[in-house]
Amino acid sequence: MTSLSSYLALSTILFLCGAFGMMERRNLVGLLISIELMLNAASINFMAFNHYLFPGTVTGQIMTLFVIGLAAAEATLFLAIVFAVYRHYRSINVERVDHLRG
Amino acid sequence: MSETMMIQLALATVLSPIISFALIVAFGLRRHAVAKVISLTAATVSLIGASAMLWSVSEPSFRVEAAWSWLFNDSTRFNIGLLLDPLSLVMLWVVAVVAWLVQWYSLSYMEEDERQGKFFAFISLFCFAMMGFTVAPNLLQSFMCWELVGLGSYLLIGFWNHLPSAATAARKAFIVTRLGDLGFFVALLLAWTGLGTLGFGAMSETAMTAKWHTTIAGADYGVWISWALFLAVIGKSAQFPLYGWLPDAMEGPTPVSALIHAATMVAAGVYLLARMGFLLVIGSEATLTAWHALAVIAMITALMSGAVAIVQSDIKRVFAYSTISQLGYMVVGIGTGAVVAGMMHLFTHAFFKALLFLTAGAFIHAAHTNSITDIARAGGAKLKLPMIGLVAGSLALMGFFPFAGFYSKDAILEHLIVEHDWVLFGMALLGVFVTAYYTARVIFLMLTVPAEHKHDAHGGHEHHHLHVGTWMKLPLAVLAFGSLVAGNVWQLSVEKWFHIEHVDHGNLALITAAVSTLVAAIGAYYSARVFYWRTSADPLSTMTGLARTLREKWYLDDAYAMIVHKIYLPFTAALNKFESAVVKGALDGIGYGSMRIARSLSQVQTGEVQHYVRMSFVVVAAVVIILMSR
Repeated sequence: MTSLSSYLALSTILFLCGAFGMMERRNLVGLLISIELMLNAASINFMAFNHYLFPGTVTGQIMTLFVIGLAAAEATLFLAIVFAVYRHYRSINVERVDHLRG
Repeated sequence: MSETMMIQLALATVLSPIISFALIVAFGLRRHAVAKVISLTAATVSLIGASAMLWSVSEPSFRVEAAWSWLFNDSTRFNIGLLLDPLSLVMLWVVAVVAWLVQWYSLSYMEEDERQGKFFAFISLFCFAMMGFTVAPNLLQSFMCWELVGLGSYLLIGFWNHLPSAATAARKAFIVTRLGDLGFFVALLLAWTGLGTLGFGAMSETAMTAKWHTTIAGADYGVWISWALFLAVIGKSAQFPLYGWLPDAMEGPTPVSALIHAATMVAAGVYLLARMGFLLVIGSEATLTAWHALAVIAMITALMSGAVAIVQSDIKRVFAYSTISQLGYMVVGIGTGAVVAGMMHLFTHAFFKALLFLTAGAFIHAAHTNSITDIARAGGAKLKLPMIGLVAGSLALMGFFPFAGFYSKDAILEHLIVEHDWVLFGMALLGVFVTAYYTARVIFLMLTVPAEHKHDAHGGHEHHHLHVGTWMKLPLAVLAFGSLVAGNVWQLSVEKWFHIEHVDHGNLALITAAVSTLVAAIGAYYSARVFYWRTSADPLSTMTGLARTLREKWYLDDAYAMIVHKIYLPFTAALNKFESAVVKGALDGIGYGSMRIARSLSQVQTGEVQHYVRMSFVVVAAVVIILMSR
């Protein structure tokens, strides 16, 4: 039987993968994928909690829909940034983009 | 004359010069004729007003006061106003007369100057300041006008400010007298805190005696305030050791010198002493001692400056040192208790010193040089009216009967005898001798140095047509007459307006007169032997040390220079070093320190997105851990 804790374990693993990728990937597109992973981990949490703790309500599902919508918009913006960065630096290596250092 | 009318008249007298100043500044700076008319009109109004008011004085108790609130809150109130009593009215009249004559004279003297408008504006301002000072009913208004007088003298001494010497002299006059003004300010504060009033009337009431005698720091208020005021008087009236500015003030136009020396500026100090003269009545024993000490200082000043006058070759400088010396006599008179005698000397001195300066100005205007011998070479002795003026003024200065100086100087000498002050009396007699010696020297040099004919390019004689300016004649004549009769005028009419106890001293007056005239005659005779007949050698030619000391003006200027260079400037340099090292260092340290901290903190800002991500994970994790562990 699947239970709440197994869903939470899945989402935790997914989130940690996303976080790791966020910190270690050098590729900007890799970063985007990592962010999507973390968002999805959060979505899974919403769904799981909704299903097991508050059955009969749809709050978590609505939240998930919002997250998906947000993720789509964010991906659009992010890719636009990636294009701009590439045009400027001729690279999408995130370590090259450090002009704001103190 | 009713009291309101008196007040209105006084207001017209005092305010017309300042109105003239404003009008000239507004309309007359470039239109010289306008400036002259305005200035002379205002001076005439002042003269008429002052004369009319003086005319209406009849008795010593005459006193009109008016006051208008100036600064006030619920508990305190400072007034400006008028105090019209015989003392102030006589002084006001002297100021008005001399100012009028000087402005009249300036019409000629300044006729070629391009900035006449400004000159007349400044003179008007100066007169207003002095008149405001004269009628001041309290120390505060006195102080304000006193400072204005200082400003006026600064502007006028430095009037020819394209000459570096004039600019320097103006600065010197201003700074040196400011040193004395510090004393005035201290006196003001002491009077306000200790006595609770600044009004002359209130301060002089005998009910105040106890407050005057209240002791602070070992001496009573009378002593402290006296000494603070003495500092002011020493600065303004050019007494030792602050007299160095007055001879330098000769750099100003000569009419200004006449004004400064006769009625305004230097007379302000003496007048202030006379105003505070009530302290001699209600002051403590220690206060009287302080005033006597001031008299001693003044007597020393009189001798020192008289001696310096002997070696001066600049005709104006001779008279400048003579002024210092005569101011010394006035202060001696007031300091030893003879306020009226001191004021009498101020009164007569105003006439003959104004005369001497305007005479000198006439010579300088004609011969274009200040040197006595050069004026004589240019034929100065042929100028009839100035020579008459020179002789009349000199006789008055030396104190020969029946000229004005005779009466006033004898009044002071007689007082010294009555007081049995033999040391001061002896010094005063020596001063009479010195005065006669240097004054006669000027005349004899004028008479004996032969006039030279200048040869023009064609080898022919060009007769030098020295002439006296058109507008100069009237003031010279009036003042020459004044030098003759001022003493009698005072004795016959002015004196009875002052409270004097007439004590019969028998033949004392006659003896004093005989002794002082004899001494003056000896001085003049000796001067004639040296400078006219040339039968005696110049005594200074054998005393080279003394001669050099006199020529160096007792090394007083060098002493100033030494104080400034050896003490004051190193002191300020040390302060500057302290300031730059400690104060500036501390502030700079704070600045540099925060910059360094900021710079090292800014290293955190790497610009790499992933570092920020890591840091935010760490922070979020930390927050979560902290929240959960509670």
